[in-house]
Amino acid sequence: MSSKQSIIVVHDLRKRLGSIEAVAGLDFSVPAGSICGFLGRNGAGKTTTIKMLLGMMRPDSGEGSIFGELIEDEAANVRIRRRTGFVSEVKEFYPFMTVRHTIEFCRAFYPQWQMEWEKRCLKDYQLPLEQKTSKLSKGMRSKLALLLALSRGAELLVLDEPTDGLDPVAAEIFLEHAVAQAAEGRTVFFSSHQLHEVEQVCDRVCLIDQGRAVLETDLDEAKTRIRRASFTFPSTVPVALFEGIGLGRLKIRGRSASLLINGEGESFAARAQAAGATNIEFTPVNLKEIFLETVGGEK
Amino acid sequence: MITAMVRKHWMELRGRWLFATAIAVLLGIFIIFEDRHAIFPKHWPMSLCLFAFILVVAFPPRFATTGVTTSIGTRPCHATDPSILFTLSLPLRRRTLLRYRAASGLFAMGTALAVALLVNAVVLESLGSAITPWQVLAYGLWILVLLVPLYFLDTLLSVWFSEATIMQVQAVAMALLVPVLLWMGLLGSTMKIMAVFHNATLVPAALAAGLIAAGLAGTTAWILDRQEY
Repeated sequence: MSSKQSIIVVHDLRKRLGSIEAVAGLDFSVPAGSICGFLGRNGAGKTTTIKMLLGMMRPDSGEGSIFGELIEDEAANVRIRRRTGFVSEVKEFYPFMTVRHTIEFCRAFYPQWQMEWEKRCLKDYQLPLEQKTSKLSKGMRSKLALLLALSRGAELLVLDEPTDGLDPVAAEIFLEHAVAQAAEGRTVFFSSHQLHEVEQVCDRVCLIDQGRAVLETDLDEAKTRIRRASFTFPSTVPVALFEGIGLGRLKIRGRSASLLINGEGESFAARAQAAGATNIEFTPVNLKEIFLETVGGEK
Repeated sequence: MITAMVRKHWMELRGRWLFATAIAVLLGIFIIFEDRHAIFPKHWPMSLCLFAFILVVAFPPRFATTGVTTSIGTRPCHATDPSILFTLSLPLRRRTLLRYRAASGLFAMGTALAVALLVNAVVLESLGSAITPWQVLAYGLWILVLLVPLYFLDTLLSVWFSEATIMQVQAVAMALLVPVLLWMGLLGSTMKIMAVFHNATLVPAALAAGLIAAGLAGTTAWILDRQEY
């Protein structure tokens, strides 16, 4: 965990939705001022976690806090929402309002509303002010949702799939905005399936799978520590040697094997060498590889 | 913030208000004219009961919702409108959303009823009816007494059901009441209907309606606090 103060802290959070344990003992924290990517496959529990953080759902057990306030307490959660900009997975507004009405409506709830951000977003996203929100395309609704979240003067941005429906230009603009917001001291916590976007702007990632955090780390640190180790053995690969080691699953191709390792390179190389491995190589990996190996397949 | 909420509810309800008022006015005028060509004004309470019947079916579901949900149309079997997460992200308690929305809907329903009755009273007077303004006022208050508990029942139901579903169920329930009323001999006699309205005094009925409405509103708030979206 970072030495910085944490804005979001979640400990052993659990939530069952029907017969499925959507969130199953989740632990993570988000340091102040960071841009944290919240990653996982569909159904991993990202949206359920975000809904619990913002009081739309209640945890079955465990604890969560934002700004030191407990998320389960309704009054505290109102205070949390006052300081938080939110883009939900479903980007829908009141269909009887125009874009202008929606902005004016939202502005009334946030005294610290930032007109310069509103103007910047209106210009960058080219939103049609007089159009009814029900007539907006999916991408335009995403842009409006971003405008409302970014202009709020919030200390924390919780964004659930913020680039959903955005064209590449708008997505790039959003990434610039996210970085600019972080530079102004805000914390950005966003879920996305666009790993290249996360890699581009995030300084921290939290990967969850089946409701549990499987990796929570600073991105630069992850890239330094996590590497692909490849080995060649004189005969068959001694599978037992790899049991319980590394991230994800062991890939075997004939006499060669490869595995993602998390910072245990030298000691593991020594063991592999002792087992007869030759041609030991460590290669850097990108976030997509880390994601695919960590949550992407059978273990 | 209050101004923003009032403005939102006005935008949400204005079309409904106009539509409901227009329907109530036209319906009232139609009934009055029809009765005039029959044995008017002897049968007017019967007509006005039909008027009340239609208002009961049509008014409360059009105006009632929780504030967590927003009235966005009449899509059947779809209780959770898609804007619900946007509403819940606002820095307001669910009870506050309910309070503002329930008050706005009730006000809109009350004024729609008042306008409709006023227009009908003017028409009745122009036709030379003996009905006094006080009778119209008492009649309006009676309808309101009937509508208010239904309004809060519909507010409660809108936690789970869409506006279209509530309207359909309410219409069927009211239609099923007709044979019961016929069996009781109520619908066959204007005098008996009048007796229903006049024998019981308005104040105890209003108090009872108020208590029922408060109970339903409290139940709605309790459920909303526990509802997950």
